[in-house]
Amino acid sequence: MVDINKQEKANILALKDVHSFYGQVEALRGVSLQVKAGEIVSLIGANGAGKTTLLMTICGKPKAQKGEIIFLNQSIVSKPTHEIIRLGIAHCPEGRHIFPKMTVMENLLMGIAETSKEFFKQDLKRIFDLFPILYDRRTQRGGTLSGGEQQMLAIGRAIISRPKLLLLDEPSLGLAPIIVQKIFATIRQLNKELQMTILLIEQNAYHALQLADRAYVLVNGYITMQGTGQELLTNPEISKAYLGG
Amino acid sequence: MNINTGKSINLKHIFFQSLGVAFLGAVLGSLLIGFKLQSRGISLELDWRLSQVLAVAFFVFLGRFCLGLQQIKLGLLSIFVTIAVCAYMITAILLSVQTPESSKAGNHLLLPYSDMKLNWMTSVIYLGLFLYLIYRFFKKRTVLDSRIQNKKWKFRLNKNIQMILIIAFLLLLISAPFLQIIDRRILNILTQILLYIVLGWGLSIVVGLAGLLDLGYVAFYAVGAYAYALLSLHFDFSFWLSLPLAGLLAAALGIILGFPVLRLRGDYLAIVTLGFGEIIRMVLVNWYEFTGGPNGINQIPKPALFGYLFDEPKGNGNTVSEWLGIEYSSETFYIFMYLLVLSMAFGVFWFIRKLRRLPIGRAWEAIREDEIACRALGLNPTNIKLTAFATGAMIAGFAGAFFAAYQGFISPESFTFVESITILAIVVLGGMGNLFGIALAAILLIFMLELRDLEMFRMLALGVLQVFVMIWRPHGLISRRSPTVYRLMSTKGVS
Repeated sequence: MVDINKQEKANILALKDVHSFYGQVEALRGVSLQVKAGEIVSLIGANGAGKTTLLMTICGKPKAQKGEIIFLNQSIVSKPTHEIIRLGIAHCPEGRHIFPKMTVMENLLMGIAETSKEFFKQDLKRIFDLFPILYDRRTQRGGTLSGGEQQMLAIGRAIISRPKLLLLDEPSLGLAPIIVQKIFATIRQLNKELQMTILLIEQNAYHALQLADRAYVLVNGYITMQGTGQELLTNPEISKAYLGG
Repeated sequence: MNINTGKSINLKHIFFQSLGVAFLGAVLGSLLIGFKLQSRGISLELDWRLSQVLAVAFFVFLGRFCLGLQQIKLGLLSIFVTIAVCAYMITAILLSVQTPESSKAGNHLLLPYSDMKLNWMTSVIYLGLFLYLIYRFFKKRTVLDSRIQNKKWKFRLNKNIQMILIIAFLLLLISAPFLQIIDRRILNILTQILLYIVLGWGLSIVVGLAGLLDLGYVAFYAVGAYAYALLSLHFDFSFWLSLPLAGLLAAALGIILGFPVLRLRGDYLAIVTLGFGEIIRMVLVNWYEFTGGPNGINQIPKPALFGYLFDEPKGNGNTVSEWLGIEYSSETFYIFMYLLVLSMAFGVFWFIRKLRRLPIGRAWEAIREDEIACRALGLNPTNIKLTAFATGAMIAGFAGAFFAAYQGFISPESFTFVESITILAIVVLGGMGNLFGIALAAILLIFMLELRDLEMFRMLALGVLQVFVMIWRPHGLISRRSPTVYRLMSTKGVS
């Protein structure tokens, strides 16, 4: 009943019974989930539950062996990775993966498929408004940034091409708690101000659930639970398993 | 400036350090110049040239000592010492050169080495030392001054002076073959160096920018050379028509090879490209009817200049010497080829610089840095690697065509594995993606390989050089990487 508004919103991304393998090992055993326009959806789970695999499968590497992945009313299961990304999915991979020897500016440039100058300036301005620190650091090499700045750079690089869906893989990985807070604040800002649809994967379940409109819990390749972020936060099972009591 | 390293540096310390370095220099030097083969009657004997080794030890000691003095603020003294040594050496050399044969013996006593090249080398090294000390001396000053002004000190020439220097250098390069001191042999070396520079630049796209270790690069060079030779011999294609074809053929081969191979990484890719290089060489050796086998291809036509040939005039007015109204000389052709290769080098330089600033150039570097990130950003790694491979191959193909035209004779001998390694060594020594560094490394390396007087020791010296470069400058001679975007950085409107 609460979700009447959300029901009307179109699915941006929908996974239906997706199975994915690493060689013989089945990493995803029939995952179904939806991401609707303007939502932040969090996916939490323990190590090895298949969270990162899920994101990689959406991006087509590894390919889903069974099931269907629909992005903007279009099946993307059989497409190669670079085409999927160009449809408007931005993937901010686990561990940041910035280009350490290239400057911040060049890193950002890599996120843009076609460099039309007018567009480019606007996009850059958008990123620098969001992360003023990157403007100060724009001539510095990526590798000389601090962890938090690198994460901002990775997010900035991912969203500079105006994606329709942002996949964030553990943005809090290896960051100091205060920086983690900042990153999550930024994610909320992205969602509220730029109406970015976000699928967020986190180990840090508390933050992820607080942030999320809806959330899924992934265990051993199955989705075991779903609900709004608040629902899951107050769920005793969740708090026992993921929130430390 | 080094005083705050914790260790107290005093005169004694510097003295013993210099002694140690001198000892090392003597040991290494004795390998290079300490022995001389003498034929006595029917047997060959090794002469132990103690005086030469002592001279090496002395000069190394003095040089290190001067560097040490600079560290304890006696820079001015060391500047005087170095310039004095340098001046002495040059005067002595000039004296011994100018005096006639009869009285030469006396003047030779002034010189430490019996080999003139070593004398020159010593004076050049001391000149370099002198310049470095002067630079340090004044830099220190400026840093102190700048602290007061609270400004960052930067060593940068005036834009105009920079421009003049560049133009002067270009003019020197262009006019080099017409200078008196440049004879046929030196011109040959210069052309060789230019070819290697171009090859190094081509390989630097593959290895330096895209990070794909290619050990069979010489295969593309061979394809370019044979393409020109065969096209011109069998189909009467002119040089200017064959040149783009040679480049295209090499690039096509690069793509054909690249498709199956580029899914490999690192060591595996290196092995496969190595094998590919050998396959091409084997084909050249064994396909006798087509490539002439081990005998190679002879009498490859020389390129013509606007339809005029570089042949001896036969009276029908279609040779260059008649057209320009100069006396016929075989040298004209080599001067022409030098200038041609030089212009190709400029072309390739400009081309690579342009490419680096285009999205594709940036993508090459990105793929070297992080392939996963590239994929996450929607780039197609296979395509990017293929273009890098093909571009590198194309440049090698061009160089090959020039090589065939210049030599007039090619055989599989010229395209062995060692060539691939030499080119790779140039790229690594020069500093992966840096064009100037690669040019510098090519000059150093080829000069060293051409040093016929040091004979078999040149390979040893090459090895030593590489070891030292890896210790002191592990990223190559010039490892600075200049960013590919400038203008957009300074845009005020962005922030």
